[in-house]
Amino acid sequence: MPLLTIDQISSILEDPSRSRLEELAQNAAQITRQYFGRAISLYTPLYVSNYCASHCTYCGFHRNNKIPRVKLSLDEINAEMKTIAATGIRNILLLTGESPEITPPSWLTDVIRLAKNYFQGIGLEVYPMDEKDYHLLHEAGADSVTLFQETYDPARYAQVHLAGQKTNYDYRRTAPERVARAGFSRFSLGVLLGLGPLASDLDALYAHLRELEKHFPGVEYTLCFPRLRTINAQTLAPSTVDDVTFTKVLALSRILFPRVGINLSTRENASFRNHALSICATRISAGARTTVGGYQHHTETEAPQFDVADDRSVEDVVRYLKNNDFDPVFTDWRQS
Amino acid sequence: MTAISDPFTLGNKTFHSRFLLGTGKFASKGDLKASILASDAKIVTVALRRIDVDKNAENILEYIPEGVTLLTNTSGARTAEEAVRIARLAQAAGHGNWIKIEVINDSKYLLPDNEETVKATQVLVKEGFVILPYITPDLYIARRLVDAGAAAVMPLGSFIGSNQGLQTRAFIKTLVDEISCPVIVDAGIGAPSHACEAMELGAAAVLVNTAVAIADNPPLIAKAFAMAVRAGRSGYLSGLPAPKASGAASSPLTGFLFS
Amino acid sequence: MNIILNGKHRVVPEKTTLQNFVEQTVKNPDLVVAEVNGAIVDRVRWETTCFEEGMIIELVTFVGGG
Repeated sequence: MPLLTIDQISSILEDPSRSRLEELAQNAAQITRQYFGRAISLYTPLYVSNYCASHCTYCGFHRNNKIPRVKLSLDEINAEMKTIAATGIRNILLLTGESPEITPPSWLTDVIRLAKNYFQGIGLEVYPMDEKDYHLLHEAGADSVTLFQETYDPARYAQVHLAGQKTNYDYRRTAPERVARAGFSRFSLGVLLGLGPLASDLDALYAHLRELEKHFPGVEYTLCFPRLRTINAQTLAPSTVDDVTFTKVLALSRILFPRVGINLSTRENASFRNHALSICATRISAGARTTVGGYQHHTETEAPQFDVADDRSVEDVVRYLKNNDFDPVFTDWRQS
Repeated sequence: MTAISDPFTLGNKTFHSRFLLGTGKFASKGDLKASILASDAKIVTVALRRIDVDKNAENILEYIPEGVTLLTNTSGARTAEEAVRIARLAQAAGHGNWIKIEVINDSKYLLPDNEETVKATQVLVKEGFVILPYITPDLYIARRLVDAGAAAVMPLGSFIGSNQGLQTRAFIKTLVDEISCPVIVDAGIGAPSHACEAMELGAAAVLVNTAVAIADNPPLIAKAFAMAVRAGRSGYLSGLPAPKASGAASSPLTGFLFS
Repeated sequence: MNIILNGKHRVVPEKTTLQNFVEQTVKNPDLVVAEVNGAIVDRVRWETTCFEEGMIIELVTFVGGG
């Protein structure tokens, strides 16, 4: 499918017609059923550290934010993983802030080795690194990397990333190639909705994905569109992307990339996530906590990266899926 | 008729015609020549065979007008080695070194051996030949052929001689979408509409043989094919609207946004 | 003298050169390619290539094909 121009994307986003919105959604749904059936992949995120040396103005973990800084010990991580695994989840996403100093690749490999005792799929959403470090992580047993460019608009990017390694736009944008060359078979990319100019960010994201698909066809890609939301009920988004526009973004992405996964995080509430599953989402987190650890003992006063809007347990999510004729998938047969 | 506003670059040449004609099975050589002229085909395929020395027959090249590029196929080859031999023989004739690699080891379906085709391509490109490999559409094979330096890939539309059109359309589309060299649909194109469809899909050109050679009026259908190729190409360049989702209406998916 | 031409036995006169043979048997020598014992012989060498007992000769040319 040829990509659209920015103008075409804009006109879809700005089109007020409800019937055309419905048509877009129906198209997306049909394509999703065709390529994914009704399979929905489940995973749970585990934040293992919130130490961060970068300053992203929109993030709860940024280095100037006065929050308690935590880096879990390997024992604590083991306990968290055990709790998560008991829910039936077999795919874990490990997250940290941006601190290669405090949570270096070598430490991450220890965490990955722990995860291998409990999980079949191990993903990382951490700071971008060199190919040799990605290689280490892959050798240790991780099979997927998630890394969002946040916004592809360099001017806007510079405005919201004020300090630390995160200020390096190019290093981040070229990371997917290093990930692929290091042997990872899955990669998730995306933009933070509400951060940058929407139509041009989508245009740049789609072009980036198309480029990656052509040069690294062996990698399975997933698109994510985290929407800027609140942190501890304080609104951070400079501009919000409303539900209608968000729905268009999801449907359009599905239509343009029929075989790419679409992930919806727990930034979105249960109702929206449910509807998105009927349209085109193919991957969701379940039973998520966005505080560091948080599965063993969850306290309300801890510092989350963002507020969880869908706090359904894994069991709740699975029940919803089964009642609505979806197939919850815990493991991917292609992962050995 | 046309200025080169949509030039078709293949190997080291530029063409304005995206219709290739095969020269096999023509009952009348006169029809062959007329078909080439009527369709303005600028690339035609020929084969190499042993001469019948006891018959002083005319040579097919006498019926191919000046300025037409010869694409010698390696028909008869059952292995890469045989294809390479035929290619070298063709080159020694002194009429160019454009080769369509056709390695067929299967007399039931006449399907090409994709792997032997890759091997032959690898050898011959290094020797400076312009190689157009004929394959069953397979993305991995196509990528290897591109890496080996093939000038194009030629995926079959349906079984040779069957005139069944683009039975492999979904796979041809993956090649058009994913590989960086021209995709020339070959085999199975039985009607001008098939040729048009191939061009709408994004093929760079089409090759037709049987449908023209066995028609009641070969020059007329050859001309029709050429017109169909131009129509399909214009359609593709104009940016065809995406096909509408078909099927019964299902329950509304976006009502929740407005309740 | 016996040679094998295009897969079949053939008797040819002594001292026949490839050039003679092709000129006598083929209408368009320019469109013919000759292979002797598996190796292509360039046209310029046909004059000086003499048939020998048991030689395997292939003479090919273009025909119609898809």
